[in-house]
Amino acid sequence: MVRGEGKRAVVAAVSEAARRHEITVGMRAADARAQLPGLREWEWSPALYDEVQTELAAALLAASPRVSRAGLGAFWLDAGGWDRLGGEQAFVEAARSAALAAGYPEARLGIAGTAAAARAATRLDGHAVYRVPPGDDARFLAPLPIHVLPVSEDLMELLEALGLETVGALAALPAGEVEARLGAAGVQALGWARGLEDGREGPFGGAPPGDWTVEVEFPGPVERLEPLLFLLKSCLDHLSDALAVEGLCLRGLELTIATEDGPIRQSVRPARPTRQVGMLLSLCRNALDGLQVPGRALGIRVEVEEVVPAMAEQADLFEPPRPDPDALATALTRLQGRWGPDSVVRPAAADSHRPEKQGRWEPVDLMTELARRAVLDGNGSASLPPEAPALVLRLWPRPRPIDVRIESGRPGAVAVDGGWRAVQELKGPERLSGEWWEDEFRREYYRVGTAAGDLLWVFYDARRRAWFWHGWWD
Amino acid sequence: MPRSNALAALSLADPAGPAGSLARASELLAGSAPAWPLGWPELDAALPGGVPRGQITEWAGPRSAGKTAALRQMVSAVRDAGAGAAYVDGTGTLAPAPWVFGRWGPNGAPPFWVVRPPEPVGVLTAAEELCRSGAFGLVIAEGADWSRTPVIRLQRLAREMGAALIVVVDRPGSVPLAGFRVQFASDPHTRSCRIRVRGHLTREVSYAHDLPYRLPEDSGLPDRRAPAS
Repeated sequence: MVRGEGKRAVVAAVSEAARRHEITVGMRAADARAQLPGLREWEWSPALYDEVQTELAAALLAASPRVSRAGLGAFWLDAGGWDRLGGEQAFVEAARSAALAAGYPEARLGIAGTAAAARAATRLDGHAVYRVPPGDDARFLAPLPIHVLPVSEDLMELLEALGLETVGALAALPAGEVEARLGAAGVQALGWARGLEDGREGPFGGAPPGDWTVEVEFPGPVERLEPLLFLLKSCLDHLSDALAVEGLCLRGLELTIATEDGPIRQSVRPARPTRQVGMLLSLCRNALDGLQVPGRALGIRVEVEEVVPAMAEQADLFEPPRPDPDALATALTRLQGRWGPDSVVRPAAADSHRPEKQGRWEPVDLMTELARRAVLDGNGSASLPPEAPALVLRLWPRPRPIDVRIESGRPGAVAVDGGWRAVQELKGPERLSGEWWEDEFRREYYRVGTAAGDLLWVFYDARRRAWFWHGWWD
Repeated sequence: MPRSNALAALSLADPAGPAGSLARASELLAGSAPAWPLGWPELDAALPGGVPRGQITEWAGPRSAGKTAALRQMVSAVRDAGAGAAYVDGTGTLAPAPWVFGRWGPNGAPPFWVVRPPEPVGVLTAAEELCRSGAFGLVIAEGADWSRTPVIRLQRLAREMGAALIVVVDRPGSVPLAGFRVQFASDPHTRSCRIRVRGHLTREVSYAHDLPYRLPEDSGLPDRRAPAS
């Protein structure tokens, strides 16, 4: 793969066959062509690469809850806890099936206690799957060529210059000497060679995930939401399948997006316990929509905060059909998630002398809604068509100051909608006062009918000595 | 169990058929009618049996013309029929007291939700969510600038879900693509409201203008605040 054009073109990636002919990443394309006539080249397309690798990462999430990149065309899969996934054989089959489905029938799988040994296991010819016996990582690595270790090219040159041809030769060196000659990178490589260090890094720090955690590292830093959502769905698919096996649902989850500038976290709580991927993805999308992500995203982790046993909904055949609980839950969670719990309310009775407190809005609680039955708790009778339907009072959120022209001691005209409107009909005053112990009010209410047909409710505030427009009937 | 015993045990009767016959599942479902009746026979007769389902109805009229009174009656009728109702209030002027119905207890009835988006642009979003849920037979939306709002998607959702979507505006003709238009106009002299359907003057409906109480008679609040004489 060649990146760039003309004299600036350089080798971006090489196959094993090209590597054997000493074609290396970073060398000038012209030099590579001269060194190996007949070298086949393809133009490097980062977008295409990222797209293809993203698809493969999503497919691999079916085999493991933790997928991170391990270089060009390579991924780390966390195989720990594969007993929950069905055992070693099930894990191997899932991983190979995922690679095959993604279009990589010749993919190789290496399984070991450390990432360095697993990586080296994929380099063995003739093995589609190679399992390093537990505890034998160092013994397995010892006879292998030094270049199976994932060290930088500079360090590899140094190791080769020191005459170290095998991993075992490096592992046999004293640690102090390695540090003195090769520095921190050399010490790290020594740890890999001895099977002491994992050799894997990732945006989530390599810390082992919890029981119900799925994480994936993106093939490359991403700026757009689409690849993130694509992999997020695969994470949720994995979690949902795992929860289903145990008969569990989740009550809440935490999203962690690893970015170049550090991780950002967002909690997501569905209105009711669920494991439905569609609903969870929708909620996560809403949660991510308004998020300011510093820098490019490197990976995503989905961690279940709380699991509960799944409860089946049993509908009664002889009751009127009720709305789909998940449909209600989705609508409620989306709306309240966007605008807060007070944005979706239901009317409730409340008595007060203060008109704006007569009745209140209560936030809708989904579990209460689902427990409703079509029961007439009142006098048990259905409504009868009214002979004269009553107008309904509407109130401004807060009473608005209004100009009132007084004639003969009573309102004669009101200033509404930019003009004066003569009062044609007047009822009142209705004197209301109270709540002196917290927020005293003293009002004289009038029902005002104007010539234009308005039915307004205005009051004179004796404490503030001003007129206010509280509402109207409609 | 023999089939005859099962039929006897279930005792589901088709009102239109012989006693003992099983009703079809589709017949047990509520809300198969094409419109929600308001419960005012003369007005329902002017409409196609009520407010049509599966499309947008423009509900237009100035302040105090009686639009909200009719909507309250509509909500009551829809819930009586077993369906949920929702009101997206983009104006913030809906007061809770008139919507507490006395005959439904605190945990009874199909749901009645009021959604209060913080900005008028949220009215369309909320209406779409409610329609898409399929949980509400009636969705009322008020407070958006419908001339700038794409109603095509909303129209399609209403059709797919079979919901009646009522859009409340001040001036008639404000809602493009409305499938139905109802216009209210008040006449303070006769204390009635005129309801015009599809441009034809149809019915004059008297409303209770002379309000002895602040709240409707079927309100759930015990104290309806009689005014001072």
